[in-house]
Amino acid sequence: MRSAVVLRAVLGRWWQLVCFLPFVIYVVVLGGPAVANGIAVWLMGIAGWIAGVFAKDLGNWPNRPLVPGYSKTLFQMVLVCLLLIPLACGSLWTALGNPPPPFGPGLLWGTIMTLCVVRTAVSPAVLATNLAGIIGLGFYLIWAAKQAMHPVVFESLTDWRLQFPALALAALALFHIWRRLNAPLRATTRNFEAEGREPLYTKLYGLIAGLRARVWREVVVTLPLVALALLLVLLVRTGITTYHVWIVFVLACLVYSLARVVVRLATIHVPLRLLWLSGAAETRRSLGRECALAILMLGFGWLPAGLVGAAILALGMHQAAQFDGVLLVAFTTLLMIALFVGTGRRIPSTKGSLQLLAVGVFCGGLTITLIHGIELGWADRSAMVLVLAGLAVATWWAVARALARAEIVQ
Amino acid sequence: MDRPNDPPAPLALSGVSAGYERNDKDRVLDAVDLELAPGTITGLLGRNGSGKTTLMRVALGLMRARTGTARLFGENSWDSPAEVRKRLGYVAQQFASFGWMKVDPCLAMIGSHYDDWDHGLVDDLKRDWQLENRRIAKLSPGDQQKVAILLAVGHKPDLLLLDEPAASLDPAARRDFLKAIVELNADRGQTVLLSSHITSDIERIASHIAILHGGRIVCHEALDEIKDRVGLVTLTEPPWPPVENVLASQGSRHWIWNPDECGLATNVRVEEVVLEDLFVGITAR
Repeated sequence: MRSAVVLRAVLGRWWQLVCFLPFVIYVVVLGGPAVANGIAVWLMGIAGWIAGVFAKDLGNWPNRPLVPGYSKTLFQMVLVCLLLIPLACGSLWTALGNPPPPFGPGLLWGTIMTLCVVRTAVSPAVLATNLAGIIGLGFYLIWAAKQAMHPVVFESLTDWRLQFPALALAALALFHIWRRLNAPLRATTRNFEAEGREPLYTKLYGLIAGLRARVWREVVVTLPLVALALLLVLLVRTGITTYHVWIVFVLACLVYSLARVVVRLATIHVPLRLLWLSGAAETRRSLGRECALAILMLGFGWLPAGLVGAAILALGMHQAAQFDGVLLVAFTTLLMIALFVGTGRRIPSTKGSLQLLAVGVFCGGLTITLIHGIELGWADRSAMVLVLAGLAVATWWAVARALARAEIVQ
Repeated sequence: MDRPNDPPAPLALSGVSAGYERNDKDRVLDAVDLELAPGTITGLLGRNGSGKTTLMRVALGLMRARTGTARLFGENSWDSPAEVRKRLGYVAQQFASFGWMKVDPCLAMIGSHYDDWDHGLVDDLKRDWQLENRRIAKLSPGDQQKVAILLAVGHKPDLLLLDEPAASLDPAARRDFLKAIVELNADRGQTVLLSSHITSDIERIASHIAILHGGRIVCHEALDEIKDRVGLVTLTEPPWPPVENVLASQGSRHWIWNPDECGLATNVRVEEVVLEDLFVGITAR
């Protein structure tokens, strides 16, 4: 049973792995010593991302109580993904005469993110995907733009004075993960009866996350990201400045997220009706509100991933480009908050509101700190704002239509 | 007339009009009146497109009536509180949900919403119907419908609305399903509104029938009452029965209340009513 679960977790996500294929090809075909550090960091990120996906799949596994050694299996996978694969790759790389990769920072980042994933994989399980996306995309962005980053960033990452403390902290984080997974109140005995007593939004997350479209449709909505990945590779190679690449990426995250929202909206109405009839919510408005929030949180899972990754990337960019990037992040954050408030009227869950607040404070702080230069003209900036506003209106309309179609809110 | 202490009717529609077009004249339901007494099984008959599904959706509060009121256990169905909704069961014509889940987890998940989910009943039906624990999307339409029925009856609802539930079931499964409905009705006094084109099913289990035609309920009577008091008479010439006694007519065939009391010629042959013929007669108008 355990191997079946693992196998399903891997095979069920093959289409997401497609996103990273262009980079693998790029590294294998075109890579050289200059990308050594980038490869290692990237591998760490991917490993953490895969671990997060495993955790999410296991968290959603319908008959999880029947799976023997759920916690043990999960922890083993985390260990394998976080330690063995990148260690093996990095060691091989070093053995071939290249400088040692930044094991410590990479591992620390991966463990912290995995810890977040493990914490959220139980309730609501699907948020794990968001966090896993942060890992993957954040490191992917670092790698994609590393050639334009300040050399001191990578030098400091590989310095032993940073590597060893980071490794120690990562070990502590791993120990904490292990303890959490084996705590007596862990969810190995959790089942749907217990979920029945959970708040509505938790059920909605599970339901909406389960509205998986057919594989081909998911592939279709994934294609923009793959296409963008190829575009980025081309742009980096032709010397176009990093911030252009970055802006394109964040916008693509928006478009991609919107596509995922639309896919979910297309199938939400039947479960919503059943939820309504089962008395899961007191009023139509509360059901619609929480449903809208769940759709947006899930659909826009890749957006915070892109934003956080972009923010990390911004630290390595030259100052003049930072302002535009941070401005975009700030606008996008405002867009998200406006969407949540606009469709949900309020943010019902504490977790959701804290997450949003954290992103907002983070981006706001960066905006204030990094406003030093202007590279885009006001016309470009206005166009960007218009695009974001258009996306906000389109998303609001789509959510409202879906709720009306389910005859939940009219 | 309800006495003050009488429990409210499980379902009461009064002057309900509803439609899908913005044009108010294009109504699917037009001033529908229907009240289900507690513990009755009512067969809802109507031609394709007559509005049976719309009626059920309005009754359940899944669609807003343009005019009139729909009440569930005395509460407005559109704004019914959660306690009222937990007393409902609904099987839609097509079950198209939870395709990614296996049968057992799906039942468990929906069951978790209810305090009194009857695992024994669900397990028994599942066993009788030989329903495998496979992914719902991979099940045949008939098996998917069985899952929908299990989801609707598992919490032993006080009011069960079934929208052509047995259309895709095989005869054996249909028989088991009807048996389960009758047993639930006998055990718990469950009220059932069953829409179906299979009149033999309705004749088998229903205590009442309601026929929806032209957007209105044109006949809502106890089935026994119809069988006892309505006769099919073939008349080509006078004397015609009084208009108020004619339930339906089709050509020379007339379904007449109390044909013996209508002063018809003594040599007129009165046949027993067959529900399917009566339905055809009423909806031929």
